[in-house]
Parts: sequence; structure tokens; C-alpha cells
Amino acid sequence: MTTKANVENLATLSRLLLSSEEKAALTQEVDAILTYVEKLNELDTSNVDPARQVHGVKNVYRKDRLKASQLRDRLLELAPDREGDFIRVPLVINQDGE
Amino acid sequence: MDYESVIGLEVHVQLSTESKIFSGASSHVTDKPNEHVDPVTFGLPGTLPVLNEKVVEFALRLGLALNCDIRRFNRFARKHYFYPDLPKGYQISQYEEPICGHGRLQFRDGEVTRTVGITRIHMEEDAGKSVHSAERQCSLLDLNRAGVPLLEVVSEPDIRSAREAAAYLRALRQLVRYLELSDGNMEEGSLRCDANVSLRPKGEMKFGTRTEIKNLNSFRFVERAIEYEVARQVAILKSGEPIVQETRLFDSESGTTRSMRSKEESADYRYFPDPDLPPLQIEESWINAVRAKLPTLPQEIFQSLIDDYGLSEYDAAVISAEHEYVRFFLEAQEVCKNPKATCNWITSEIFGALKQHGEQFSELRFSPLQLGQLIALIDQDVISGKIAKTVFEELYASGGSPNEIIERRGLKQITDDSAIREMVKEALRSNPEQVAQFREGNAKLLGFFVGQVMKLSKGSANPKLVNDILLEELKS
Repeated sequence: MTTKANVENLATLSRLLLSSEEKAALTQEVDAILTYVEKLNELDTSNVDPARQVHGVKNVYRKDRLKASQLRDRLLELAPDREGDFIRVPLVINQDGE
Repeated sequence: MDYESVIGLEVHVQLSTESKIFSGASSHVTDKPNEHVDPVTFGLPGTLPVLNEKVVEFALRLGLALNCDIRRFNRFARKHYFYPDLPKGYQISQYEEPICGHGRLQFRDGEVTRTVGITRIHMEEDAGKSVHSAERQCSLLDLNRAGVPLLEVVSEPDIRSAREAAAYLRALRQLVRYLELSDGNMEEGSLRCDANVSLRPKGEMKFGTRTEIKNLNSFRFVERAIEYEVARQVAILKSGEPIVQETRLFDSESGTTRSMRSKEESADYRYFPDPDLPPLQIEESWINAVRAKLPTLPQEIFQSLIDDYGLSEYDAAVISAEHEYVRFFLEAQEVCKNPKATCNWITSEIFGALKQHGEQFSELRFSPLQLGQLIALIDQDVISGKIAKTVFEELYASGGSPNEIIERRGLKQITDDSAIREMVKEALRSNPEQVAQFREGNAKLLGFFVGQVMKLSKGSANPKLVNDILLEELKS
């Protein structure tokens, strides 16, 4: 079961600032989701291999060749905010200078 | 109580491929922000990463050179963390199934040969770059580097001092350059190093609590940061306090390390196998093909320069430092059969001229063959060592055949007895006072006469003949 500390940790990792009301609400929501998923654990899967992949394909490579994208300018247009050719985002520096 | 330092290094090697690890966008450096981007780099929904074959080949090359076991069945994993320079919200890396494990790197630390274990090597993609402006409350993103291939090389905690850590790193840099898989440039970030440092009482087998130091972007910083961190931990242990396991950031301005509180723990990354990338089954035949093409490695070359070419340890270390020096040395000495002189010409004349002109070894305008010919001409007494330096100046400036330069500029050494005797006689005639002094016993004046004759011959008389004939004439 989720505790409030888990939600706080998730918020920190996701770089989200949550109000205490939001935290309380999210704790309930995440709890409900986990309870639902928890049902899966009732099945005995000890003889089932983990399904990391379903199509059985392996060894897909490309040669080390340049294939310049024609979409560069359109990709940059998708950015919510720009400064010249840079994408501008809210300041992500923290107290560590990282 | 005496403590022993226990150090392990994690090194990121940026690979010099043409394209990115999972898409055809260029992996080259450019000044233009967001120039080398495509939908995969942006991590747009619906895009699929496709692995660059060269990255696997480079991983095999480094793994085999480091005597690693190669994992035949490989998978990629997603490592999650939220940072704008990682548009997908995860980095594609390898986690439980790295391509290489259990290797070792042998290197020289001063006079001693050391071996450090390699825990693992794995393939991953680099993140983008962000520039922060606190004043304007924004960060600017450049995704050119996002998706550039990296190999992360993790060492065993076998390193015992800051100096040894720097020696290990230099040896690893030398190796990736020999293997031509990275330029190994630390200042430009092609080689990035984190250090794990802990202490334990001398003789104790159990490891102490470690800290991880980040941001070590030069050999000097690696050494300074570890020295600082060891001293910091000694002081804490001596005061009876415990070491806190944490990530610390090296500040090159102050030479100190400080705690980074916000670092994720391994569980926070929620690693899981990346379903977008099919697994790799690496065939024996591929491994054998890569092994067959491995160049002779730095340690072997170093030993061969001593054993087969008679160089001193010092000279062997200088020549074997870079593969291009080795190639140049071997080809030049093949022509003149004088390894010692070849080494001296490279390390004093060539390195000196490059330094003076601010140029790189790769920019040399003459070939090893031409240097070999020049040395052979000295050894055959066709030119003197002094004239050879004049020839070298032209060779350095514009290349060419040493023989042709000597002919064209009339620099050939005079080895004709009678011609030299004429010049000797003239030198004695013009300096009767010095002749008298010499005959009265001032033997030091011989050098003066040699100088006079060399001047008359414009430097091209054979010095040994000048000497012999001068003595004959002065005694007669």
C-alpha cells in the first residue's frame, strides 16, 4: 500500500511541487491503482517466463551511416518555447548547481 | 590508525561514430544548437530506436582489449529520471546484462606495472546539454549530444591512490585512442570520470562506506578530487564519526567536494528491459572477427620498443603514448635502421617544432620515410648533424625528399681531403696569432680553428676530417 511518503518521493523524482491537498488526493488515487494491479499477484506465475518481448525478433541493426532528418525545423517548432535554436524551459538548476 | 584508500572509477567513453546510437542523426560536435536532431532524438511517440552496429563493434573491441568476458545475449534497459535534457524521460542503457564483464587493464604507474579489474562495460546513449541562466529563470536545451553513443567502463575497487587513479585513466585514454573508438579528449567531455572512494584500516578486508565524486573533467581534477576526498574521510573517521554514503560534486575552483542531496538511488531509476529494442545475440564469428583486427596494444608496444629496439623505458613510454607516434617511429627506423636516433628526432626535433608552431602531430607535412632518409644521410656522413637540422627545417615547412633538398641547396658534406686541407690552410694563414698560441700549448684553440674552417665551408665540411687535418697541419 502507498503511504504519503511514497507520493512525496515520486513528486520529488518527477520534479513536481504538490500542495498538501494534491498529495492527499494522489495518495488515494495511487492506492486505488496499486490495489487494482495487486490483483495480478494472485496468479501463480512461477512457471511463466517474463514476457520482455512478444515478437521473438532479435539482432536488428543499422549501419553507422548518416541519415540527416528533414524534420529538424518542424521538430523545433514543436517546442513550447524557444530562444533562437535553443529550446527554452523553466530553470532546472537546483541548489547543488547541477 | 593508518587507513588505506579504496578507489574505483566509472568512466564514460564517447564513441566516435558517424551517427547516433539509435538513429541516423550525426553524432559529431557542432556549434549550431539542435542541429543534429531527428524524431528519435526528440523521443517523439511512435518513433523506434534502431541500434547502430558500430557501437556493438566498438564495445567488443574495447572488451576484448581489456580481456573481458563477452555476454552473448544482450538487452537494453530503460533508466528513468526526469530532466529536460533527456526528452524521453528515460535513458536507454544496459543494466543487469552489460555486454562485457570481468576484464582487467594493465598499466604503468611510474616504475611499477599495475593491474586493475574491470567490473563491466555497457552501452548507452548520452543526454543533451543544458545551459542555465539563474537571472532569466530559464534553461536552454541543446539536444545535439542526446543519443550520442557511450561506453561506460566500471573498474573494480582495486585502485589505492589518487596518483594511481590518474595513471589508470591515462592508460584507458591511451587504449581507446589506440583502438580508434574515441578521441579520449577529457576537456571536451569525450572521456568523463566519476570516482568511488572509501577508506578502511590497513589490513582490513571489509570495505568502508563509500562516496561517489562527480564532475572530474581533467586528469589533474581526478587526482586533486580524490586527494581531497581521502583527506576529508580520514578526518571524519579520526573524529569517530561515520562516513555518509552520498554523491559529492567536485568544485575545481576551491579544490573541494560537496554533498549533492538530490541524487537518485538505484531503485528510483525503475530500470526495466526496453521493449522497443530487440535483444542481441552476439555470434562467436563476430567476436573472432573483431579480435583478429585488434591492433597491438600499448603495453605490448612499450615492451617491444625496449626489447626489440633498445629504447630506454622513458623513451618507450613517450613513443608508445600515441599510436601515431609508434607508426611514425617504426616506419622511419625501418629506413635508417637507427631506432635510437629516430626516437631522438621525433621527441626533440619534431615535438619541439610542433610546439613552436602550435601544430598537431597529424598535421606533419613530411613522411616517416623522409625522416628515415634524413637520419640515414647523417649516418652515412653525407651531411653533418648540423646541416641535417637545416634540411629538417625545410622538411618541416614543406616536406620533400631530403636528398633533393641537399642537392638543390648545395648542402652536401665536403669529404674531399684536398678541399678541406685548402680551407684548413687558409684558416691558419688568416690567424697567425692563434696558431702561435696553440703551438705554445693552448690546446683549447683547436675548437676555434674548427669553427673557422666550418665557417669557410659554410657548415658543410665533415667535422671529423676537419679535426684530423687541422691537427696534422698544426703539428707540421
